[in-house]
Amino acid sequence: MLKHIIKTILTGFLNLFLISILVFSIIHLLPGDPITIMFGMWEQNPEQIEFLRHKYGFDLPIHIQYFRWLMNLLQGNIGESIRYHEPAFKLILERMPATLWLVFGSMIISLSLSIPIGVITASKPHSKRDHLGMIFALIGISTPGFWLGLMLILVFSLYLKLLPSYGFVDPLQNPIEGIRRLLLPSLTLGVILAGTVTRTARSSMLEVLRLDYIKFARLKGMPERVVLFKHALRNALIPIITIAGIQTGYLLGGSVIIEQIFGWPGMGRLILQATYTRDYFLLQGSILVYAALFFVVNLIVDLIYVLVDPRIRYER
Amino acid sequence: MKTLPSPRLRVIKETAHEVFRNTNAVIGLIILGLIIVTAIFADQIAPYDPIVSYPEEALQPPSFSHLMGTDDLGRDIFSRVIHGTRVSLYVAFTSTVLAICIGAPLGMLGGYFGGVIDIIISRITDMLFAIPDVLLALTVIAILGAGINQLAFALAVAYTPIFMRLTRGVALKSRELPYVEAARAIGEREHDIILNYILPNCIPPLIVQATLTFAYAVLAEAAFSFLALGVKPPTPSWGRMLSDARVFMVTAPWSAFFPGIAIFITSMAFNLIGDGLRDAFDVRLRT
Repeated sequence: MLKHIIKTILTGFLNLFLISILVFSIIHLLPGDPITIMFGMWEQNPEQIEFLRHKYGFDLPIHIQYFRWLMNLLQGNIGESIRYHEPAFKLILERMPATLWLVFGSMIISLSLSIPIGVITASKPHSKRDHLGMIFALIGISTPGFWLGLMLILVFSLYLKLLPSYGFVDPLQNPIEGIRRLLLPSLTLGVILAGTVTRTARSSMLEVLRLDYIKFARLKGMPERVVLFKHALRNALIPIITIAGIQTGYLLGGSVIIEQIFGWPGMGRLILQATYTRDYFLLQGSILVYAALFFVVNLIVDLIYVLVDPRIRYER
Repeated sequence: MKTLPSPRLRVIKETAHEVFRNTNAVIGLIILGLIIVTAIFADQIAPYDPIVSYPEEALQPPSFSHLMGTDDLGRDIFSRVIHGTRVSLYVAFTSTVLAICIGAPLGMLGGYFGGVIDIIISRITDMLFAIPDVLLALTVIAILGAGINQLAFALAVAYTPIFMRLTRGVALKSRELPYVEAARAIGEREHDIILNYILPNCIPPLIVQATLTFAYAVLAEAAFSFLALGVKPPTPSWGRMLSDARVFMVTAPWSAFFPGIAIFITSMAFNLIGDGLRDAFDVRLRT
């Protein structure tokens, strides 16, 4: 087990190194001069532009530029934001709690909707409730998340005035207000994510329900509820965890638009601002941090597999 | 002498039969057909000009003269929704086709030849997968700037690894099939083998994945246009209409409602077709 973790971490570092090359190439090989793109809005003086180009090292050959960036990376310095004049890493760390709360909230809503619906639909394929469940999944997959968010804001905060629609309060410091603010954005993301998870849960359950031990449990006269939720679900969990893990990884950076709509001061919004202001160094650094987080999430998923299914051992 | 019908034609016929037996897929196809007709004949269908503003008609609720009401500039929302289909389909189609054109050949080469080529290609795929597609697209847009073609390209970059992984897997499996080994044994050239035996095996999963990617791309186009990173105004785009509508959403909820429904229906049509196609190919593969 320990061996597996070490191996995963090592390949993770190798991948991060490769991703650093990839990100660097995307930014430097696509047409457009970074300095004019970044400073073109404010700076027109050619001498000044020349100075900036020199200051940020864009006048050096490309492999030297990459090498310099890599050296900085190895010292834990992923770059400095041009707009905020602060290390990108610090900016990202500041935004992380808000995003992590959002991921947590939406995962809870997504799983508590999708697992029961998936189990219930699979228990009676092609029945009325199966069709209803699948319609729910289809709606989740096809609905634009930001539109659902807007509609929820419209109904719950603007018309009914029940919930706030904007901003983040740390639930650890102020639990009631924190959770009230977390509700709408989590519900939006939760419903959208639940679409995919419901489908996975259903097909995974269908596979398991075909197995002999389930037939045996039913023949033994075990209540259907126990068969479904205790015996079958446990074995159907692995694909569900896989999907939820992938979604968590993507949510860390991918809930950009939901964060924007709900004024959520998270990492997605930071990267969006970096895009608007064309803050290359912040963008380039953030992507590396996201990729690193992605590996951490994958590692955690690997560990959860072992907890859920003791037959899984990472030896060999 | 009577020639035998082409086996490929038979496969297509059987699959089409399967698809048309699938109610969901048929519903999806009908909706998609209507959407495509709407996009082509948008100028004829739309009752008003989608761009010219009529300030005196601003923010009118839905009525017989304005089926979906009007926006803050007095533009007919129904006409704008109809014209929005063009942008949506254009971006979805261009980005997906581009992603297939880049991703599918690379994946096939890696899977078929193996070795160093495969290692390089799989590594690139893994790396691209480790970056959320939204971030990948945002990075490309940050460099290229906002715009409809830039957005299509950015989404294509984000979707490429999906197709790389897909065709690589199929090619890897197909390489070991007896008829491919036979072809190699009688000395057929590599590129003939890839085109004649590997590619046809990749096509069914590619079609399914492409359809589902269309659905993502419709959602993504709307999201990026909402963030002002896609189509530039005044060209009507559903995402952009929603971001404009945010300001006056309380007094004119219809302006935020209908564009969202349009996005939903389009994305749903592609999802329905994609699911139907997958089931159809599955049935055929199982028997």
